[in-house]
Amino acid sequence: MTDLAQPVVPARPRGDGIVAYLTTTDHKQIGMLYLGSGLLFFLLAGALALLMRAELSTPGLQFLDEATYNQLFTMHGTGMIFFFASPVALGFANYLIPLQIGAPDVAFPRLNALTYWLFLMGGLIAFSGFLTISGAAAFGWTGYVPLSDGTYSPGPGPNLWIVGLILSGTSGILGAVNFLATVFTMRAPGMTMFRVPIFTWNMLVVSMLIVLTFPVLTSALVMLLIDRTTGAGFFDPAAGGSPILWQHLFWFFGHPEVYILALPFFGIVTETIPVFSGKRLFGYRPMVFATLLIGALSFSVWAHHMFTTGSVSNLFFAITSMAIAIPTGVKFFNWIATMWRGRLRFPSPMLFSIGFLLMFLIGGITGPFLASPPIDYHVQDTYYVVAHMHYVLFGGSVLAAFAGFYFWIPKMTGRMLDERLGHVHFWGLMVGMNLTFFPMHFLGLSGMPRRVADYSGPEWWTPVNLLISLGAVLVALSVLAFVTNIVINVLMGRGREAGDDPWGGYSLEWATTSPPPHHNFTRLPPIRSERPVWDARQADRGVSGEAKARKPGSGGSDG
Amino acid sequence: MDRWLTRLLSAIALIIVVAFLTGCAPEPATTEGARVKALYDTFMVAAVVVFALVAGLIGWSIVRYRARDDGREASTAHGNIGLEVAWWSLPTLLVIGLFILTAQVLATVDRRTDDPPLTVTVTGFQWQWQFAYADTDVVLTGSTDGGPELVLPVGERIAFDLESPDVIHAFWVPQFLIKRDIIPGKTNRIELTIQEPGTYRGQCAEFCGLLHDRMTFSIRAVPADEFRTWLSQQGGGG
Amino acid sequence: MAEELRFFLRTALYSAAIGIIYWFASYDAVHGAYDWIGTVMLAAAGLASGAVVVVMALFARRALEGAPGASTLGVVARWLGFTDPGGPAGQQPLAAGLEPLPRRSAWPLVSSLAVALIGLGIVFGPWLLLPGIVLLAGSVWGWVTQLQVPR
Repeated sequence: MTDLAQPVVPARPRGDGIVAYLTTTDHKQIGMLYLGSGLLFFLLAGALALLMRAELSTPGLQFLDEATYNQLFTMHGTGMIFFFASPVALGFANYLIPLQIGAPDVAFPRLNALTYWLFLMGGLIAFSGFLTISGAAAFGWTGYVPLSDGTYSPGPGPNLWIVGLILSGTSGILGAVNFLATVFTMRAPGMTMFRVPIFTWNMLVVSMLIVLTFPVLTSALVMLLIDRTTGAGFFDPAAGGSPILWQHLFWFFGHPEVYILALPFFGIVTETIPVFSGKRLFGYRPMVFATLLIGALSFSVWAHHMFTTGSVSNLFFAITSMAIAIPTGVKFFNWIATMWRGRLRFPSPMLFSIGFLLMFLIGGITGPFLASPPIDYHVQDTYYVVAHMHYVLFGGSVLAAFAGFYFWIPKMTGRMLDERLGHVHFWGLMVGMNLTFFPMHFLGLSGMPRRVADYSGPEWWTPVNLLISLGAVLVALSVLAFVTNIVINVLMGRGREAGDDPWGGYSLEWATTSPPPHHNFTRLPPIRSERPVWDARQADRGVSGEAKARKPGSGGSDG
Repeated sequence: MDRWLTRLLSAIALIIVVAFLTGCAPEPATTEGARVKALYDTFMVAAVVVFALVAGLIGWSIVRYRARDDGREASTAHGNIGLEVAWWSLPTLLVIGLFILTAQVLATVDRRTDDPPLTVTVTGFQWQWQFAYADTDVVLTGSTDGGPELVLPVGERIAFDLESPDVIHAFWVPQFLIKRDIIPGKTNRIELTIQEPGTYRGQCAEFCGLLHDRMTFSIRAVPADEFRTWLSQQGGGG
Repeated sequence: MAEELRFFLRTALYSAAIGIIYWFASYDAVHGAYDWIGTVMLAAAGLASGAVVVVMALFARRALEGAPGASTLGVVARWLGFTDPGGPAGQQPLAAGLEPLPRRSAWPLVSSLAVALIGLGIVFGPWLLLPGIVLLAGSVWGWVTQLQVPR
């Protein structure tokens, strides 16, 4: 077989109408559906957060009561984790994995469509609790029993929450099976495992985590549903059950879930940083190994969320949790070494990647504090944890997701996003998120518990809470800049034509048109490393012409 | 433009470091809390060093290696065994060190004695507290209008038996720097010694339903003899 | 050994190893008890990955011996609509001219609607459950038979 494949005939014309999307089995359209729906859920769950911040801006209850507030933070967490961060990760994966490994589609295209629709139904059902008389679930996204059982949280809202999560969990499992099969069986000739781009590697590990942990969550949810509807008592101490069992099951899923929400985004910045540094990725194999190690360790850390229960081996979970800092630190050093002595450019995707590095660094550093049981005894369930998790998930995953949007939207739509709006978005978000989340460390340390609609404490809490609320408004405004950017440049089509390879990309998605044809590739460049498009460009211009490679061009498609 | 951006970035990084340095846990009122605070401060030193190192390297890369028209070519380096060994082992050593410190403090904080001088049974219920002094009839119960004030002696080891009749709560006094979940069907115990007389705010920390935010109480720590007098006035024997 | 086999085998071995360590680490001196819950979860993760290894070892061997359709699992997989376009790792996926891309299908959407109806039926009552089950049966039939239409 030669390196170049024969041109293929598209099986059917591409369509962009609503019916085309409803019946699509194309991984790119499904990926865009995931990304679009994920963003809508981001706006929805973000709006809930703004309502909470409005209530918290001064002490006392102003315009929300506790019942409403409790629903808001429950659905904010549920929405952001299950219906924004996961689907956005899966959306990028759907779009990019087949392109990065040189495949025409995923292994099971119809199953792929099913995962999207199941996720969407799950999200709608979970949020539909707001439409019921007794309101949505109001026991926190962690759904601790006995609070979430039929006695203490009656009504259909919690049941809708459970059914919604079961559907989206099932969707996740099916999607992960699909990605595993795709990466293992559909790689183009020459694309050995150690030439697979890091984003795809990370998604492979994430898929494995999903396959092993989502079933645990799904079974726990089914048990809870049975408890609620029939009074079976899996988690009821009076009936011989155990509330601790729920926490074990939930966190056995819940902590790998944190890495399910982090690794895809690590993957995104590992793709952007080399491109905008004009260098090869530093330490490709150590990066893969670090990903594998994070995935492996994530199975042995779940009960660090349960240090204060007095029911688990705190020392065991302390050392395993702290150990995660090692591969994460290695990733940081390799990212920095990739930038070191490069030629750095700072368009929006790179700005957000740098923002990711700095913000995730803060979230990562507060991690070992929480992994140390004595410190956790003090800060667990306080705003310190809220700050930590938002630096990890907002400063980490959300910033990297935006980097991914700015990086790949030109590929997905053929239109560039506006750089000025991108800068406004970036700076607004950076200032806003630090105003919002950084002071939360101090609130937590000085004794403000999370999940409260009202608070009383030292006097300085009042101005600090107001500052946090103002920061949240700034975050919202900057996100508005992003939405405007997409509406004008993509939906209304005003954006500059992107061309095949606007950034001088490295991996295979840049070797095809923007947007790619239905069958993805007409020709593939030879694959001799994890950056075939860079290789092809070097071969084209000769190694001595490397400087010229700085100019974005259509390198690669001529292989 | 880019230079201006990178300067602003570095300024933000600096502000964050300074804020981190100044923001510390509250002054501990218990001997156990003092150990936790000392551990926290050690972690904070490590955190600031790591943050300064990593953020510094990022900042330096941004400023120094920005693409300019100086004909400089990007390095072609893409791996280095020595560096990899260095940055795999440095975090490992740091983690081992922090773990050893953690294990030592944990042993102190989690230590349980057979016969502490005073035992209080703490019952967290939806949505208030009940405190019962062992071997007496003294029981303090709060209502959602206001929590009870628990009076405790300074300088004596106090055990708290934590019980819940309904959902999970958590017993937390921020200035004690310790909290423990209250789980139905299971009695958790914490022990601590208050060092400083004073009034301390306490609150349920584990979300427990509708009026979780009103589950507050307070603790008044007084000298031991004053405490005994107070207890007998409440009708408690001995 | 194929990549995927190695990957799952290592996962199985790792889960088993960490499960054993966890069993000993979870000893609670106060109550004199080990923690069953975490140990069972880790063991289950190991067993599940191990089961995948066994299935894949059998599946891969049969696939290498004869046509992919010869294996029972291959037939079942195809019958369920899980077409197997890639075959073993490294096979030429770009021979797409010989292998048409997936056709459009409304069945994923319809079957997810059916599942949503069933879910809502569990919450609100059987009047949603029955149409859900009927719709699901129909969409499964449509899904399975769709591939048998000549392309």
